[in-house]
Amino acid sequence: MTLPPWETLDDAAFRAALRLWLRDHLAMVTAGFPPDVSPHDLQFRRGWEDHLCGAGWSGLSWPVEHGGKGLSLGRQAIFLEEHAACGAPLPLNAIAHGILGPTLIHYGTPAQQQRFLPRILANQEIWCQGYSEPAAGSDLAALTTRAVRDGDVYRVTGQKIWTSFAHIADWCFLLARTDSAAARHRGISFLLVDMRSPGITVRPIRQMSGEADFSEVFLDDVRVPVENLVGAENDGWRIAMAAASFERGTYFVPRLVRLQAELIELARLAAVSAGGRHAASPAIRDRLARSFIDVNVLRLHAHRALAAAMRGEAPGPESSYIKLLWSEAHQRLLDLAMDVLGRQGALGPQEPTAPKRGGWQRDYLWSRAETILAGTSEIQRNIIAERLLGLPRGTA
Amino acid sequence: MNAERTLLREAARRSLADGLARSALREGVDAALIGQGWTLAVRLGWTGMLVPEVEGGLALGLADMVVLGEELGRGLFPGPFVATAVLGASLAAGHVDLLAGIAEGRVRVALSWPDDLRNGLPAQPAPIDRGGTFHGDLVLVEYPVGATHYLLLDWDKAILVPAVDLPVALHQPFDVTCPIGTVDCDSVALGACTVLTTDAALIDAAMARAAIVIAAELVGVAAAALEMTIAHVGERRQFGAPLGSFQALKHRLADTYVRVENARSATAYAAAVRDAGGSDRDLALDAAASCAVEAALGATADAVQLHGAIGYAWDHDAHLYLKRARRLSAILGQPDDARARIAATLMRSLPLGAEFLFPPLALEEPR
Repeated sequence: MTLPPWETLDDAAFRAALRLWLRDHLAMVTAGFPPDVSPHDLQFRRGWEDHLCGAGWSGLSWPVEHGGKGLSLGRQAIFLEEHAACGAPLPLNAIAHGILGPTLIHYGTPAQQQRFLPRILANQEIWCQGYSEPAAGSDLAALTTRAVRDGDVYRVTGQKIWTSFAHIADWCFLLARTDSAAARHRGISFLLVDMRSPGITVRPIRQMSGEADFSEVFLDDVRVPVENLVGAENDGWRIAMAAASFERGTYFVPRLVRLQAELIELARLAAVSAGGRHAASPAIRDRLARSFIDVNVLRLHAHRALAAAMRGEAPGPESSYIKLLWSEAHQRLLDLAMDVLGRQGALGPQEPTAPKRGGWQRDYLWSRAETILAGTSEIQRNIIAERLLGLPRGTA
Repeated sequence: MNAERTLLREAARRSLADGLARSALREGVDAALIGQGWTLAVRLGWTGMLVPEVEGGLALGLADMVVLGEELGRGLFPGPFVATAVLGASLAAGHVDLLAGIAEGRVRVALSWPDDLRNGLPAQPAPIDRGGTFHGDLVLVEYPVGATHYLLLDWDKAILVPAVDLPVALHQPFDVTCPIGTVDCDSVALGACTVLTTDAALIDAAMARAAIVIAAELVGVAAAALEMTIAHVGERRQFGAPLGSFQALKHRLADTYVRVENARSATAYAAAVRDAGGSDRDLALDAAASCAVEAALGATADAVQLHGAIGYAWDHDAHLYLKRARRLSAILGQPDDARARIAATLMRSLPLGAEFLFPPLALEEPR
């Protein structure tokens, strides 16, 4: 399996070579799965991601000395655009490649870097993120999972929830309270936990789509070696906030490509559905145009965020309005898709005879989660009001 | 935004704030105040921004002009600036003396804007007979006071009528910063006028350019109304707390902020694409028009509401912005008409796919 000599190509030639490579290799990997395999099938997702990593398409943003490719943000964006446009299944271990890897590169010990980074690059270990708890959702700093130092281990007890892919993960990076007496944000530490440790119980949560990609994770006196502490004890909040910023420049790039493709797909569906009534309906057309405008302004915002990152500017609260706008625009688009589907929407999200094999239904349901995860729309509005508009903090 | 545009924005904001007192604008705009604003615009080179260098202009593009346009909206500039320096300058291509006159401030063009600029419908057709003589009135002319020319627009012709001695009847304006009049054109001979162009494509392009700058003015109106409101809710206290600490208001203002940012980005993009002649230039314009109208009408109405009773008072600026937003929106036309055009292009262009509808953005920022 050889890569094109992409390091020496200019951007346009790189894009063109990559497009062909992705097309051929996706066809090759897909051929190893049943013909009706869903893009959400976890084995298919893992298979494709393993293939990409095996071919060297991993660690694109990481520095070369850590085994990465050290690509410029512009090149990374081209990869993400072409990857999103080629119809490949979504990545499974993005949290390791995009968040944990860069965090270890910045804050990890040499031993942690040597132990974990190569296996992330090779996609040998799947990671999950243990942040949310039953009583700490939007108010993450209210977390109560405790880690008590006992010789050369931390003994961790508590419960995490909404943990994506915990049921297949090998490792978890989690936040636990190491100083109950300190101020809320001060007593938290960032730990790397082997999911096979005694005392861990994973209970998948069935979602409204019928899938179970999230889990509850129960930790009962789990022993975590002290060498798995990232950064200093009680400095975990700062590290978690920094971890969330590593993807800011490119986070929306693939999402925008998919949003554009979905809008065009939806317009094509509207053009042929209901015997042409939808295509002629001023109300449907107005909503299509609104979605076009949403996509158009979002890609300008995302492009500006990328350009700011390329100039080396630190990410700021403006990512809140992109997240707010993107998640709500996606919801509006999928609301319209369900309206356009009409009674075809009576078929379920995994029904192979449904249009797009239930993909519209599944995405419609998933879009309800997008305004909740990674900061609800309500929290994003608070952030915009307080940090961008300078309005006073308050609770009323 | 590049350094030159940042300087332009800062200079414009400062000079408009210093040069035009709100209290004077509120009491009605007369020839003296319009002249004062015009002198400022000429002195700072604004009227010549789109004029070629050989005619004494700065030969800048729309991407620069929208930066100024936003400040003109924010500063409630009282004068036919877009009519003269954007629409007029675009239509006058090749008319050397007129272009020089626009740049130097000798020419000031007023017109009765079409009801919906993008549909190209004149408010009234040019009242001209077969013998080449005008009959009747030009109604709803904005800023007729002090204008040197009136612009008559039809589908396929643009004519400049010298304003000399034509009687003007002024009416009570809805937007007190914009005098409205009826101009008596009876018996003016076509021979005394300048036919700027008979090229429908040129007229369409000039109107598109004007529409983009009007969208920018609306962005400025919206941004000013939002900022005024943010300042108010940060200071005003009720129930023992600043109004701005209440989430109902925060979320409303956050949504307005997002709408204003969307409109600003969409307008900057429409200008950049128009300058570059991109394939999606009409889509970009209609997106900007829809965003700008909704942002301005929403932000100015919210400004009145969130100021409470004081926002309804004549002595407060809120109504000046609300009224300007209404007046400019009517020129751009209904947002749902803009979206109907977008939908038509979208449905027609489906075979062309994403590369036509969403052409790649240059990595240099579009604003």
